[in-house]
Amino acid sequence: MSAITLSQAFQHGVQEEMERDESIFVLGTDLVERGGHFAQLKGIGAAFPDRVRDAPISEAAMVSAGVGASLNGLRPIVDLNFMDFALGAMDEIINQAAKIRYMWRSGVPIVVRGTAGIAGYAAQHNNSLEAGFAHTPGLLVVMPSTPADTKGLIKASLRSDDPVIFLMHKSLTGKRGEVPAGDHLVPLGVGEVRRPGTSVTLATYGVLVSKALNVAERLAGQGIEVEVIDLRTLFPLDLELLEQSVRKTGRLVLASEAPRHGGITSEIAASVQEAVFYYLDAPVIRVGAQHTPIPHSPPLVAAAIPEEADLERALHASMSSNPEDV
Amino acid sequence: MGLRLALERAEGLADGEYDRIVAEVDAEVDAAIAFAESSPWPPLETAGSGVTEIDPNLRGNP
Repeated sequence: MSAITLSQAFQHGVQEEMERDESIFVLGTDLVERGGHFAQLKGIGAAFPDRVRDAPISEAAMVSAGVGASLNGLRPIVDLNFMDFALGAMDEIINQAAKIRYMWRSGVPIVVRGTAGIAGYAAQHNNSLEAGFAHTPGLLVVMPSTPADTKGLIKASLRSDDPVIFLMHKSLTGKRGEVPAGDHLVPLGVGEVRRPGTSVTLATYGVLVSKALNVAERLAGQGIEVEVIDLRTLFPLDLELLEQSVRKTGRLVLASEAPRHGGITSEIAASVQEAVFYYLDAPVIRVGAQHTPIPHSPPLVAAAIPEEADLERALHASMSSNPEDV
Repeated sequence: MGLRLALERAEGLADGEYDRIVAEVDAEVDAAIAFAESSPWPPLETAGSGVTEIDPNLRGNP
């Protein structure tokens, strides 16, 4: 075990898989020399000079080339640096990669990687698109919160025959954590209990996981034992894990940095209440960002997105069974 | 007619060769249509299958 950053963990996972499987190659911008905007592929260009390609900055062209390559026996990673600009490749992702298996029974083993979430840079670099991808049949969507899961999930993604949207939160790329050496795999579609608890379930993903754990520690001092679940994969969702937890706690708070309206937390809230409604002692509460583009001003950003205080308020509201307290 | 002339001039197709190719393509398409029209409709339970390779019985993938 060694403590490395989330970006380094991604790089380790990619390098191991490229050594294992010659069909994997990487296509993106600023990769060969620089290793990507977040050093997520540092050294990969030198290690595999024939299998890392810098492309013109056209997301549509990159994803198109990746889809074509995957249909011809290769396993591309298309690295978009910022997932915000996948919007320029939506036809290739949603109308091609996601549908080809269903229409022609041919797998599309492509990983489209990008940073996501909110970390400055204003509105156009701070989209949270995960719910839209998860809404699209044919796509798998992952968003790790730790370096260990990043390595394990990219390795699993590169062995999948389905297109995988691989989201790395911008604020987490430098986060350090222990990562198992060797062939460490995290299965797609499996969540993780980060902290067991009996009072209330708090399920989240990405950058909010560590904030959830901080809040859980504080509330433990008040006698509230929060069970923190890291979803890790947003499609398929590990609803079974969530339902098990809710059967135990009877209370559920869902948190996402994305705008609350139409978000992944809404889907989970609906699914969980369908399955375990009679175990619930309080309404399911969702915490999310305001319905606004992300501002440039730091104080406005802080006001627009969920902070630890918002999580804490929601957990107290759930415990008091009064969602109007949120 | 433009395609026929282009192929005959540039590719040197022999007399009748273009018509033979067209007839071959037409026959293949006609056979495919006949096969499709004579086939049963697919079972309804297959409407939601083959979307992803990952286990479709996962709860999040109804």
